Amino acid sequence: MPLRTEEMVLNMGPQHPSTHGVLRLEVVTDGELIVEVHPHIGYLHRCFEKHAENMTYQQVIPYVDRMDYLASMNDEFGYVVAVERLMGLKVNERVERLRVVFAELNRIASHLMFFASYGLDVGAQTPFLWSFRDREEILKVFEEVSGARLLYNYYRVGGLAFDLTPGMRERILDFLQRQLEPHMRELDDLLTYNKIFIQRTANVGTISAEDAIAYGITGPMLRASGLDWDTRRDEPYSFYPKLRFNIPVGRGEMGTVGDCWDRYIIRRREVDESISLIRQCLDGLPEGDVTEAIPRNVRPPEGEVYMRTENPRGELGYFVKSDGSTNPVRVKARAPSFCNLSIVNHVARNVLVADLVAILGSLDIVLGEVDR
Amino acid sequence: MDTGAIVAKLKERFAEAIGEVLYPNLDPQIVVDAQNFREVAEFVRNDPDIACDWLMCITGLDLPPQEKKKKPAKKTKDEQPVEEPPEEEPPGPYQVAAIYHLYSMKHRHRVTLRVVMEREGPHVASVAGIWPAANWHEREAYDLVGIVFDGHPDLRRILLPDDWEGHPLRKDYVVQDTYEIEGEQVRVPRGW
Repeated sequence: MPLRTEEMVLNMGPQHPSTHGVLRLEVVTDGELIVEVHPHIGYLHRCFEKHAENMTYQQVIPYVDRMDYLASMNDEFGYVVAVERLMGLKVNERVERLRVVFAELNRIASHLMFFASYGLDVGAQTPFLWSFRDREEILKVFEEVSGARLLYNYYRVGGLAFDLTPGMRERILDFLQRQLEPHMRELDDLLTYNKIFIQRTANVGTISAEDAIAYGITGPMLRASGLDWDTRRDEPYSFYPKLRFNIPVGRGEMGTVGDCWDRYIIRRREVDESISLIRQCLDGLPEGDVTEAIPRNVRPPEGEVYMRTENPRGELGYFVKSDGSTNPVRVKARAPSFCNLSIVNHVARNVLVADLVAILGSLDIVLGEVDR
Repeated sequence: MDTGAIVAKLKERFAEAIGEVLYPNLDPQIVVDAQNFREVAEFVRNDPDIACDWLMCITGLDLPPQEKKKKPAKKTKDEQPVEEPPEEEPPGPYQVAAIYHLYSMKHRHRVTLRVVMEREGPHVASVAGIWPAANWHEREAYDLVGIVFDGHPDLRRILLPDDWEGHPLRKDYVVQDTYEIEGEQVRVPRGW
């Protein structure tokens, strides 16, 4: 009797521990190998763009935080820089430096969350708790400065809401030196060069550089595929032109260029670069008032601008259109996770279902950004 | 290449399809005709001097007609208020626009193309075959603004449920009264 084979549709539903949020993946499999993956998104769609048309420019900032809730400072940074470019507003050096400090601290916190959840996806449970120990210190800093642990509403068009509390600068530097750097070295021993981790992630989900540009992939994923592009260095904004930092680029050390291990190691090395950036910004922080340039009514002149900044997940772009009134006419957020997720069908061909979990984890998506 | 040189090169090849350049001081946008848009997009990608291989974003924009308000002249105490009949200016056409933000990795320059269409039945050629990144961006523009991209491999709603009615980012959008969930019509909440 001949064996009948047919393809099976497996649903990794909106509620799933490994899909990093409410994402539904309709996976068509032939036995254990995947034929097609169809992502269904929209479970977290809150129509932020429609809300933004009824708010003033400063009132949009809490909405903007809630897009990428693991890196809210970077979301706000991008929006505030876009509106200031539309208005032609300049801020003083203390504001510029502090904005970069908090954006980079949030980049470290977001990457720690990535190590934690990626380790958990491939089966390692200890890095989760180790990373969260360090992330907790960063969230304490944010809570003291802005009042909230995760969704800050801290940046304003023209400055920041509050200044640093006394002693905060020394606390941040002390934390980086005495806690974060030794713990990152411990994490390297535990996870990064772990043989099982390498077997799970090297040579899995390889994305070539041409595919990455064609699909609009940005951020650590693009750098892992071998392309040397970082918005902070190549289209700089805020205080970045005066800072010196290296850009880690994937070299295929453990497998091929552009596989999951490369994407992991890029983010690991970016934590080191962010530590160096924070030290450069806090070194020589001038005195000043962070709220002095905040206008009473934000009324940009008529115009449209598209401004992009580097989020931990990629390039976050804001298209802001104003017609001279206090409310924006259109705010469109180009979310990096939205574009990064569109490649999953192309990459996950002929892989095992377990490899799909490793690939999806290495994309480092946040559904708040994908759906907005 | 700066925008002036890019516009000159485009005009040399597609004379009538290229319109004006908006916002030249901020982020210049080149207005392109909707009929010839596909050829212009292919040229922008393949020409070695422009070489825009990276599609950053596609923005759908709803452009309601500008109402031209006339400010009344200030009157002194002695003058009698004069009743002037308001000028009847016909409102402009209701349009939607799709803005394509492109970047060239080789030459490190940006090109922004703007396609303006009529609001009733907006159609423009899809560029998903040229830049695969456009696939999801065009689905989102279709979902939220209602622009139909001809030739798109799979044009359906992406963020909203498949059976939602209307296009929310239009300025005159009114949310529907009820939505069907598992056979029952559930009232859609309207806020406070």
